[in-house]
Amino acid sequence: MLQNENELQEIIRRVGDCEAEIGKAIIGQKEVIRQVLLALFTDGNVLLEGVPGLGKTELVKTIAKVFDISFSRIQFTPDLMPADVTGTNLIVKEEGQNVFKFEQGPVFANIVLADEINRATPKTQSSLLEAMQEKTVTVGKKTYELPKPYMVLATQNPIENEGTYPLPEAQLDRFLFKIQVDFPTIEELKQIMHITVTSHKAELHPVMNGEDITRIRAIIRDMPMADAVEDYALRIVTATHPELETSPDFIKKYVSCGASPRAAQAIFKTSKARALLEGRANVAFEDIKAVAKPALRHRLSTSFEAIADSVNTDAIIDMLLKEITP
Amino acid sequence: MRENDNDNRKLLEFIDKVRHRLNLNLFADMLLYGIIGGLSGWLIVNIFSMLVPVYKAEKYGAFLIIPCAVAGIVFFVIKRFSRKDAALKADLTGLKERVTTAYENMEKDDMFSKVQRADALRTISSYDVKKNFPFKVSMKKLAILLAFVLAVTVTMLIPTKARVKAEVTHGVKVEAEKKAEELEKKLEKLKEEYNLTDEQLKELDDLLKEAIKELRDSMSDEDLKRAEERFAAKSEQKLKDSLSDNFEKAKEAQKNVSLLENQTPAEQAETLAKLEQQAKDAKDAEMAKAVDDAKQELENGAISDAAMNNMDNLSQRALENAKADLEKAGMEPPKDTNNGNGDNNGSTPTGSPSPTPTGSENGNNGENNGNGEGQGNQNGNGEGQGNQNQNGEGQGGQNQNGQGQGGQNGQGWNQGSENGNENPINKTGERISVPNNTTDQNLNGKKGEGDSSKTDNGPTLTWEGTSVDYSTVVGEYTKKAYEELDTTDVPASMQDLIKDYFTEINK
Repeated sequence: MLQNENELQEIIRRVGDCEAEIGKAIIGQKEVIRQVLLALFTDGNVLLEGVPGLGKTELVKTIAKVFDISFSRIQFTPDLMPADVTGTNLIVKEEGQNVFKFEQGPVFANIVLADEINRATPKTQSSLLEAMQEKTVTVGKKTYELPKPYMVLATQNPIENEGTYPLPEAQLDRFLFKIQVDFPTIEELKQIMHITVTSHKAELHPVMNGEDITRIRAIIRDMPMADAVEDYALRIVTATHPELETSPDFIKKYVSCGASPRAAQAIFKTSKARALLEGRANVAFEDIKAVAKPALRHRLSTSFEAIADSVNTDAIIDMLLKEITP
Repeated sequence: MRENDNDNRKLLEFIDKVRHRLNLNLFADMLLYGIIGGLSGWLIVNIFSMLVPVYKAEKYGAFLIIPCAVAGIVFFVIKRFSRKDAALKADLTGLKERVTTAYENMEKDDMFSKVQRADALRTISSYDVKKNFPFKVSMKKLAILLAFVLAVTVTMLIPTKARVKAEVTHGVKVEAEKKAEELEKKLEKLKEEYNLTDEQLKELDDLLKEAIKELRDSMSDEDLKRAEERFAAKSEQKLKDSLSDNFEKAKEAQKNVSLLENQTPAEQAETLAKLEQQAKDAKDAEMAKAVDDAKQELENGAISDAAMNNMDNLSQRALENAKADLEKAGMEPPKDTNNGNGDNNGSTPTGSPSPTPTGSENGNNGENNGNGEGQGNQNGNGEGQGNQNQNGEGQGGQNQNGQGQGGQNGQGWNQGSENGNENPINKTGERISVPNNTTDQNLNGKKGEGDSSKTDNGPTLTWEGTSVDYSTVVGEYTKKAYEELDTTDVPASMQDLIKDYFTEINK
């Protein structure tokens, strides 16, 4: 619960500092950083999609450093087993007796980077489901709580399809955002070169900690949202359903399955977080528009017509935002 | 709480300002739309009036603007902005939903709402409502308005056949109303001027109604003229007929009165009943009373001389009035038609005998062989004459100047009458003495007396009749023709042809 206006201003200021600190190590990608922070402040998981070498892992590491929280990285491969992710019970000798002791896997960290998640088998992929949704891990008959704050950042390569296991819709839906990591501009690339191939190293300092994140999450939940803004968000989500008569024609043509209520939750939560990051105490239409794409792009199933016309979900969402006005 | 109230008041003041500006613009827009709608309607009416003759439609089309403008205002009232709408509109100018959120959370006291409200108030403190919501009328709409005004003006001024026709038709309608009014007045005057029975008045009223309908249906001045002429002809004829009829009835009444003196009480009672009916028909209250008194007296024994004289005077007065009416109408009182009925073998007399006053007794005009033994009496100028070998129907008209009129057209032939009958009609104020012996035997000229012998010269087409002026004949024919047009199924084109024909011969 917010105590006073100063507290809000302080949070806004510190979040700004965080972004600036992350920006020291991650050149460009401001929108990606912003969206990852939105997910972090709203207790969500993120699926980062982009070609290798765009700094995805570096981003996650930097966030961990700036927020002074634990970080682990799991490289997903076809032979990766669920136990390699969650941990397993090992027989150890204690006081002369053999006992089972749970050895925590890499999933036990505040931020978990599931690198190239689509390379692991569905069985291994699904080992993350409980962690992502319930923030717990169950091994045998015992359930272990994951540290707070907890967040999974998974990456996947959009180009290579051979030997990959595309994430099922149920698992995709559990990611709050799917963030597209684009290739940097020349200017940004120049700066990246300056940092990475020279002896200049960005020195990062923690700006916040895990408690701050938890505190911000609580505050964001209370942020007021006008009826008109709520209606707007819901109209957008509803319009993605081709089975509804009121849906636009292009949705009926290009979408085979619309967004779930989790999409609406994602938009509501992240738009509030965005308003806070923008220094406002209320949600605006522009917040909804800003978070619509990462919140919806992995929740829409495109039809054959969309594939035939080379229309991807981002294009569909752009059309939707033009069609649905505040 | 007080701080909240103050904040809320400021917030509402701001919203109201925005709302006022929005509503002002909306009002102007709606009014403009209304006027444009009215102008477009007017334009349509103008175009319509260029093709279809509707009197001054292009001017009356202007009245469409008023209801359309009112509709615009009504629409404004329905669509006017609420505070919530105004707050949202303000937010859309860059306030990022601060005002709407603050407005919706005005009643909330939690910290976030307070902070948000304070943020909203801070933002709107530097907000210029007039700048963001200027009162402006869309140039596009103004251009449309002007285009419509121009189009309406141009289409209003273009003269077309339809418009000319509409003007003419309207003129005719106005004229028709005027004429209808005049006809009504004329008829009223006639009613006041002449003593007419209810039935006659009704017939005249019917004529008037018919004429008014005809006037209102007229499409041109020619039609109006025709309708007027027809009415004039018909009404004149009707008046003449009525007056003649009245005169005849008055004569009949007088005759009845004169008969009373020599009648038996039973006959008197019968005659009185007739007189009573005649008085009633003529709406002669005095006569009715006099007859009533006479009846009383008769019931008590016999009709007194005084009563007799009274009835006589009244019947005489009625006759004079009827005659005066005739004269007023420019007519001559009809001559006695009953004289000289030499019972003939001639056909029904139709032609009026020529005015050949002879001053002689009549009834003996059966030339040559007619046994005209009837005698004219009084001062009748027998005029009728049987033609050739038959008896004419001379009659002793005894009217004043002795110009009695032959009953219709005498077409008798063959044989003259056997017995002339006298039928004396007295002069005004004279008592009439009717002889008791009215049978043939008592007449001077009896059948078979004299040396006359019959010579049948065969039928002839020659006869003489009274002179009837041209306009009367044409009027009657015209009347008849129009009656036929009303009752028979004559094509419209032919109707016009017939009407034109009669119009021409009426000139």
